[in-house]
Amino acid sequence: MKSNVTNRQMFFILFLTLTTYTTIDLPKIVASSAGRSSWIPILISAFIFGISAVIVTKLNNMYQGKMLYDYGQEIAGKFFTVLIAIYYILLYFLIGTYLKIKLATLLKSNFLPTTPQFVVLIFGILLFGYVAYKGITNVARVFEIFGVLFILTTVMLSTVMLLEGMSENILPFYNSNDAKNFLTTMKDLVTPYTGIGVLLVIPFSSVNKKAPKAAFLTLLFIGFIYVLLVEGTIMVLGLNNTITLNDSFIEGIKVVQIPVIERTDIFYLVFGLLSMFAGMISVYVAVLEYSCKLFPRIKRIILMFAIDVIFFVLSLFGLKINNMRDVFESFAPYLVIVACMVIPILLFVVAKVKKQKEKA
Amino acid sequence: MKKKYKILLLNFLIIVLAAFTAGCWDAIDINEKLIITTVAFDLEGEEMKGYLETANIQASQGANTSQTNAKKFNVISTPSKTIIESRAKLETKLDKPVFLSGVNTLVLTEDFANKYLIEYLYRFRADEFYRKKGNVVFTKQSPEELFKVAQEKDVSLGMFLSDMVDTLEKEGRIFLRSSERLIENLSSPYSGILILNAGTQDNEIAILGYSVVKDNKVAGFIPIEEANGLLLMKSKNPKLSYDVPYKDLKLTIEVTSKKPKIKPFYKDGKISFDLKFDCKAKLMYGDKKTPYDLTDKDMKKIGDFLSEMLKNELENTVAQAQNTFNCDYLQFDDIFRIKYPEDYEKLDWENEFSKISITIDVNVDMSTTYMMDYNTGEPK
Repeated sequence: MKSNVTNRQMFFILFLTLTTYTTIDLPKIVASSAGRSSWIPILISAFIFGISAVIVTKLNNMYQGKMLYDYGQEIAGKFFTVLIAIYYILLYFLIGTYLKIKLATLLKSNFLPTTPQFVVLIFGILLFGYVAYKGITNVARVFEIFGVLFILTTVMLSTVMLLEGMSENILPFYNSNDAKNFLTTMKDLVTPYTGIGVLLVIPFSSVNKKAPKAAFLTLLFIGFIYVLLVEGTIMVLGLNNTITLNDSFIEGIKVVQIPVIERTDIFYLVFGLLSMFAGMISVYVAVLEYSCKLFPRIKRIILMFAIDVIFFVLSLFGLKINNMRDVFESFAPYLVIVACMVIPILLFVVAKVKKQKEKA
Repeated sequence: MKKKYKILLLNFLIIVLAAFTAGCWDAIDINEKLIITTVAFDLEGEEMKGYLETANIQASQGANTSQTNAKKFNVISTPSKTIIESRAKLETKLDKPVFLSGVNTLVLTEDFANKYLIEYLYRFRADEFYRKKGNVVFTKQSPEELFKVAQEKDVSLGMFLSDMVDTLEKEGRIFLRSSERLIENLSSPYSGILILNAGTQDNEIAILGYSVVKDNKVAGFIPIEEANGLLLMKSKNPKLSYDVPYKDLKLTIEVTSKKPKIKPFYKDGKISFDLKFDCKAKLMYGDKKTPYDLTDKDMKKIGDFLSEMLKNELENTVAQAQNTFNCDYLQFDDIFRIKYPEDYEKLDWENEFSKISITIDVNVDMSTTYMMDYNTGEPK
């Protein structure tokens, strides 16, 4: 199965996977700790994770045509690579489950209040599984379409929010009293960057030579998009309302007035859901690719159904947990730092040292 | 997998998804819901009274001949002890589930607001089905009187009020605070805001002025006739008319203004503000036959006189906020907070506001409206 992507497709994979986690409740999360200075920790996080994305892409470029599971064996040996693969599978099962519950909850509260959530889960999981089964190249092609629609809608609505909102709500841009909470905010911003790890399952080719630069700029772009939607929400709703309302971005969208589009929230959710679907497909692809490598004798389609079942069972358990977001956020940032920073950096350093030794 | 199985699976998924996204479980025809257009609350003694105005869709469509003479909007009300009880009791009088996204205006009496404003607005914010674009309007009268006038005209009170305030705001005749802004202000450590006050006048629904909300209570009322200074300060595009006496003439001048430039200062523990207004004044007409033979010097004198008039009006507006109500509904706190965020957090604005020194400077740019001479194509 062909599994290459272009740099443009990589941009959309990163963009959609990363924005999945955040757009709807991001303003509430960051404004709760960093107030009107939220844009600062957002941009710092984007910069830090931009460096992380550069390392991941450089690592992939060092071993073109291979994914982490293949080149990991050359760098760290088979035993450690299998451990790393299992770690990623478990992590993406957790994240995937969290995202599916989030999707089911979002659909229930906005579109399907009486539809049983397990029905939404069954169809969601089957669909995402099928798309992931088609492989990363096809997924990347779908993402190009989803991505353009999602960027246009998000930027347009955020801009309207900035135009209709009150500048008093976001000023001053910096308050020294907020600065002491920046670390807490940055910890809350870690989980959205899980998508960087998905790049590790994509074998790079010669067309990805400029991938590190593209990945870094993508992360900065995502940072600016986050800033745009957080500032837009605060401008329209005010700081207190943004902190109080759970889906503050959606509430902010409801308040703005655009000619012709009476229900701006539904308009956004149509495209916002595309982003959520994309994020879940990415996570699914990662689990499936690692599983295929770990169990090469089992057919891809059988693995896909097995993953479907596991996701479904985990999601049913997850639905029973109260305050799922708080439970998830209490441990997820540490797991994500290990997955997206610690492991790639360690592998990159070891790979560099090995290459230096080989040269010597 | 064989190709035909793939296609079958894909078709199956598409059909199932189409059904799922269309929300078969949840489909409720809009005719099966009661569209709420206005919510109102009053307090009589210890007992509150809740009102719901619902749209009678069948009467509006005239679909059913027996309904064609029916009112387009129905009002139901119920007395209760608490807000929860009120909602529960109101719903027992309805034959269909309510649709709250159609609420245009919340009408609250000042008595109700004095006791339940925070509780009700927090409830409003927490209920995701409420239409947050709606306006909040206070009234001194019983909502029953307002509904009665609206029913006589066969219009929705909420929709009528909503259209009226939108029109007046666009024309620069009033300034409006949305429900979101009201809740935001009331959630801040310091709260002071003006809310539109509606009532009946000569058996017509009208905007009568502004209720001063200080903390979570109604602290006073400013009639709309005395709110010119407020408009100059807070409206995005105020448009006011003044009668200015000059020599033996009474001149009518239209004044428009941009938002004032406000500069806060904080020195030696003292707060002060400089307000600078750039107004454009247009001489519209006088009360005598033309020609008036007004020279540039005359125009300057008229401009200076008007400038002094506006300055007095603005000073009175500030004095009213500082001394009469001791309430910063002019939102000087926001301007100060933006410039001095750390100092603001240490200050008790409630104590500071009345002591603030405010300097006002008004600059008037006078011009005249000329009649066009169609023979020469030039103004005459």
